[in-house]
Amino acid sequence: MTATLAGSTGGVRPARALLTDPATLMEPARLAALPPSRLSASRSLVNLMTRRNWMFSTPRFELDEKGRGRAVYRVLADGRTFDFVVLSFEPVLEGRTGRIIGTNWDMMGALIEGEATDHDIDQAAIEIPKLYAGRATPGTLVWCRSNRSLRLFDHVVENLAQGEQPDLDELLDVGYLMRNTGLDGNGTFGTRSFLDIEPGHPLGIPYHAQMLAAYLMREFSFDLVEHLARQVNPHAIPLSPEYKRALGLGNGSGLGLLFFVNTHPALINRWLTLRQEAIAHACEIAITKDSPHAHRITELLQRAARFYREDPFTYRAFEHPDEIATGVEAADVHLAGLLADGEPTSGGRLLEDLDQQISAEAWEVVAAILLEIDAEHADNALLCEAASELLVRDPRMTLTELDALLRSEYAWAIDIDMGAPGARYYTWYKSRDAEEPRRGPAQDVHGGRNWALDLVTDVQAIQSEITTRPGDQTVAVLLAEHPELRSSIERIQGLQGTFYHSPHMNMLDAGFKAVRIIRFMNAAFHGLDRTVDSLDRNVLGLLFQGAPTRHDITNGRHADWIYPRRPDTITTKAGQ
Amino acid sequence: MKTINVSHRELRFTLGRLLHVAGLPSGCVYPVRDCLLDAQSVGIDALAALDRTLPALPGRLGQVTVVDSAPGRLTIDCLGQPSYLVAPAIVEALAVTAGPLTVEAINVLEPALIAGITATAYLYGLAVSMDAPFVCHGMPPAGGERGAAEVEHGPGTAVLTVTQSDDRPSDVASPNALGDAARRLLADGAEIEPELWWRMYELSNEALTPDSDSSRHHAGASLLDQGGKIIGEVGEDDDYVQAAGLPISS
Repeated sequence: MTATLAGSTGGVRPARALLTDPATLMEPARLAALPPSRLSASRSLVNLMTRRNWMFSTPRFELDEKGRGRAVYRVLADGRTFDFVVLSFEPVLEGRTGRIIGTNWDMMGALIEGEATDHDIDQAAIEIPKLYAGRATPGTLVWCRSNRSLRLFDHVVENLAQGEQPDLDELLDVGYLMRNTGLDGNGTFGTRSFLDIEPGHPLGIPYHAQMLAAYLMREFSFDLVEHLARQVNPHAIPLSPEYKRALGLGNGSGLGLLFFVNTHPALINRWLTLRQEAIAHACEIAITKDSPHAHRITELLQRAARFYREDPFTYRAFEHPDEIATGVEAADVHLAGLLADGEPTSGGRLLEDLDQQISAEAWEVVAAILLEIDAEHADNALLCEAASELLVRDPRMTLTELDALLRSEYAWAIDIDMGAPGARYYTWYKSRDAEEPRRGPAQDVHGGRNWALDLVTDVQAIQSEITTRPGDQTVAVLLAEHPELRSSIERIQGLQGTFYHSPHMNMLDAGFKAVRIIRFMNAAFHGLDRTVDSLDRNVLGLLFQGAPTRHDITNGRHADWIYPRRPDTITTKAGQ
Repeated sequence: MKTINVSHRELRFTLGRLLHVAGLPSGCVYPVRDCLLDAQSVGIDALAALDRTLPALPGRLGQVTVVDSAPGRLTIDCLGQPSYLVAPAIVEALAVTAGPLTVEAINVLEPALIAGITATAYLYGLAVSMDAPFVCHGMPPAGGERGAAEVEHGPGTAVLTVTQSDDRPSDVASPNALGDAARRLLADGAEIEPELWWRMYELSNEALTPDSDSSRHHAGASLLDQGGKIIGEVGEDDDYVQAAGLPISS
């Protein structure tokens, strides 16, 4: 591989085209290959908290010997106060599952604007367990839930109680003390609507409110293990800061993210556009030997390669981390070669040379790293991320124009044979039990609606109807006779001229890999690392692995945290 | 009267599902749902109106007939269907007809909800007003009981005044493109009578699929006892399985 690269004189396609061609980018396999980046919600939140010196305190921490009780974490962010109310419970195995159909969780929380009153906390305790029948108090941004890791949590408590740090391998093989089982905001359960958040709000970037709640669940997990260890032994030691940073918040996501992508085309398009354009912008920056940019990219390529080499998890639908590491190492070597002759090069040249020479996931890691030398531009891009999902029809458009639109923007959908065996295998639905998203063979699903976005059938139905009509007829006339086409025409017209809103997929197909879209959302959009697929329906992962703790942020430490290294093993007892 | 505050999102979900339950094809639901939201955003109790008119759905899926078209004047026969159902077709008819217009939407149930169009017409390059009080023949007398009697009273007429507008946003996806009425609904939510809300919420769940052992296998894995009976759910989390030492089925 490196031998091929050494002889490369630049790829056939320019970097911008490699980054922005929707025919490539919107393939589910490619979307699944997009890794966390500076524009991922969790990373961008940590960067923001660090840059703006957010301050954290814990005005309440009232838990008993079993960990039952309440706590309040306070965040001072750009002159505003946010309280994170924690309701902590002793684990009960009955009814305990990460799925929303569960009935018991070890922790529930509410992120509230302003200082939470006793009434707010009492109401949260009453209302959150009701879920869909519950009502958030005014000013609530997020409700959340999490469970302790049964594999790791007690091990850590026991070791800390004995004055020892936990086993590092056990720590990293799980990667978290608590696992997120639900982050609900943006109007759900009566929480504040995101689009109502005013400009300049500290949590005004999409998903920062949810990510702040997730970050504070991670912080609570550290405090909870230390609290429980002290109940066993008042002289228990705290979890080492290095080990804390190595831990994330666990997360498991399922089919619901497919529905999210389908119902947020404007947000997905806007975010992907900003992301790809930001990388393209970074690609233009000249990089010279021994420059800060060269050092930074080299450092991050080496950190990333090591990060993937150290990955302890097993992946089924995605690339083996060793393959990613090998590709990133090749990129490091190739960059050194480009810089060796003293002439300036660029990230664009690097990506062009690497195209088809390293794996897709490795290539995308290199692309994401380029954002780090163009941080201010990338961070500012997120200020334009919010989208309303308003879709507007154009009734004046002629059918000739509509046909041209379909041919230019939906050729991928026109080409799919929906009559092929297995093309309509799945029905996507929501269970009446807590509205859990599910997918099953069509013949096995009875009752309710099919909630799949079947763009392929929609596009083909419109095109079929167009062919029977005069080209100068308007969309208004077509819809007057075929109102059942209105939703799909509204979507197609409303998104005209944008290219990253809809994965190029037939989600009904027997061979469709749902985990690819779930991973795209988890890794690229939310910023989870170690995104492992399971059962072709679920993706597990870690939020904030390597991120600074709240004490680090308050003290301005450990801001450069991506691709964290495995910490050194701590074998001696504290104080010895 | 005691009310419950419902967010824009919750109302949107419930309205959409109700339309599914009422038999509208998927391809009709979103634009009709949004017309109900538009009506709510201008202060009309859209959920109550939907409740009153559910028996009239799916009707003719919102198809309308232009019965009279002259310069400056348009008459649209709504064929006895609810206003929110025909509102998308009315908007399209306005958008393709040039010049200032007076539009009569006749033979329409719950004509007051047509006022929702006034909140979003700018998106189509139009400014639309509806005289207040709404010129809705067939409405119950002022101070009269609202409810089933209104439907029994039969279809009425709504009269709109339409002019061209330069307020069409260049970037519709931008939050800045939201109109004032939509912003109010996002900020304040909707105050709804609790009995109505929970009754309609329950009804809307009929758009979802009944739970079953088979369907539980369609999301996460299930935890089985030795006889193969589902005793728990695993989901994306294998902690529980490892702790319990029990078999799972995917």
